[in-house]
Amino acid sequence: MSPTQNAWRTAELRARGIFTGRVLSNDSLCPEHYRIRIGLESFPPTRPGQFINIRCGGYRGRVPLLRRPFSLAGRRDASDGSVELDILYRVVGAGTAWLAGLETDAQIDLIGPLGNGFAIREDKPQAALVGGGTGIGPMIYLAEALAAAGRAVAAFAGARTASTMPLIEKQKETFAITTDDGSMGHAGMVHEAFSRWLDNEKPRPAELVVYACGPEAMMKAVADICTPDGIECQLAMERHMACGMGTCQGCAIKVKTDEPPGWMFKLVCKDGPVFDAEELVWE
Amino acid sequence: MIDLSVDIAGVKLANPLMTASGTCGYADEYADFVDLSGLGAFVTKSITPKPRAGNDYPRIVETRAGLLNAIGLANIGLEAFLAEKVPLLERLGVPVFVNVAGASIAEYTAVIERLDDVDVVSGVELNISCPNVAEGGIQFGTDPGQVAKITSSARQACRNKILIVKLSPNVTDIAEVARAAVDAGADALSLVNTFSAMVIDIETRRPVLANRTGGLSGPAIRPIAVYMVHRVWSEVARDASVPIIGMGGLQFARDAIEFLLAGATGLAVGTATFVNPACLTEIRDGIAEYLEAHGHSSVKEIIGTLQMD
Repeated sequence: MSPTQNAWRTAELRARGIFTGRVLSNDSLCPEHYRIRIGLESFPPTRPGQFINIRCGGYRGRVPLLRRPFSLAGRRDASDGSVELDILYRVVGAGTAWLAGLETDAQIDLIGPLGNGFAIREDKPQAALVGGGTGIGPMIYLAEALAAAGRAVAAFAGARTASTMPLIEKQKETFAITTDDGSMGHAGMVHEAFSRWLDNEKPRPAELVVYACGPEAMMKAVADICTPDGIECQLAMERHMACGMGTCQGCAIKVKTDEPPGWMFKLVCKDGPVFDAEELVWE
Repeated sequence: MIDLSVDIAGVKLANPLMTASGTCGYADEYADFVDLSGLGAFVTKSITPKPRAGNDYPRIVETRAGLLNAIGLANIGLEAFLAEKVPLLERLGVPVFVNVAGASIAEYTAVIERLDDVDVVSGVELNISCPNVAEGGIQFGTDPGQVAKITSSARQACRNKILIVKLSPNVTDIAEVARAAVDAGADALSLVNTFSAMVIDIETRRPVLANRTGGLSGPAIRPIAVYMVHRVWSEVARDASVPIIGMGGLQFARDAIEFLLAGATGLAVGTATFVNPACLTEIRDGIAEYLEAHGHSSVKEIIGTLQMD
């Protein structure tokens, strides 16, 4: 596996910095998930799969020391150069609880855009998207980008149950939905729905690219479906990170190399978060 | 105009601010977020003779006021550093101190001998305090006899650069270790490195870090670091005229002033740059504001002026 696997990391993506945005809206999508829209006077070019690091305030006396990373779930550019970014998040601790309490016009200190992002393939007219839980966020942004690029998109979204499905109504038309308990969409796991689609539609492997983001077990399942048939599969990986900028070296992930011992560490924040499924060493 | 310049054993710094080793890579990583040419000096990540992959994941875990890391001295190795990173560091325009680590004294001296001829390098910082590797690192830093031995060997290899010894706080008496380093030829002292620490996952009942233990940094350790800087300054460094680079939980200008009053001449920031890389220059500017508000014209006027009575 050559180190140029992530060659889609282009020079334009080097533009990044520290920005102050303000909250345009911050809505509960379901009991666990929120969608926040952040307005900025300007923001560098981004692509789906990239993330921002938000400096979160405290909640009930607990103030996170480090920033919290959030994948972009959408972007809109206005004619005056201003930018709207969407983040889809789940409240899991003090930082996200603080975020959930932010009201319209509140200021947000963020660093970005960070990471490499998904690659849209010129030679692959068909794309399949598989998102699980909070991992549905970047799939929403990617589905929009792929549609704008004229690709055929089959999108799948999975959650445990209906009350944890973080999609707004109009997005439910884009995604085929599964829930573990069948309370919304089909009953079962999201990778099973994707697998059935493959069996039914039989797209040509060389013309298909698959993108996934969600729990690691889900992404592994998607990779295991794709790689035996030689289907390109790009996965957005997740690791705890202190900086997000490539310096702390905390977010190490094992990737294959031709040199002994056959693997090396890369950084999810800088070399990823999107990796080719064939590149990864699953632990 | 406030004079922020300081002198670290003959190396002139425009201001006391520098990066803490291991937290700011090799300078290119932060170039988008902070004007590194506004620093007093740049301190690199540890360099070892051969590349090191580092420890398994998880390597970091956050606490309520700090961060544990067990990266394991992951670095590109001496040859790649010289070929790829030195040209970038040459463009920085500030003095560069290279942190050096190894598994044996011979490994330390092999790296130092090569760096001794590299123009852009102003000094070598001896890492004898890394708590996260199986061999080398902290084993050299906790016993005064070992500290004297490795400092003395490094001193012989380090002919053209200043030699900074970075001390571990994981000792009973840091002044004793500091004295051993100074007596063996250290030109300057860096303190403190991280504190050995552990976080437990209460569900799995195992340590969170793959390495089991890690080094605690961040605001949690700042008052201990300030105390240790003051002890080393008052018991060893002041009389020996050896400058101290103070570090440990520095986030804001007020923290920097504490370190200066306690006896630090240089100031290194690590964990706080993960949150805000620009804090390096913000702290620098905040020191100038403090000095102006208190009627000082030079930062040197307040170094070691802590009143103890």
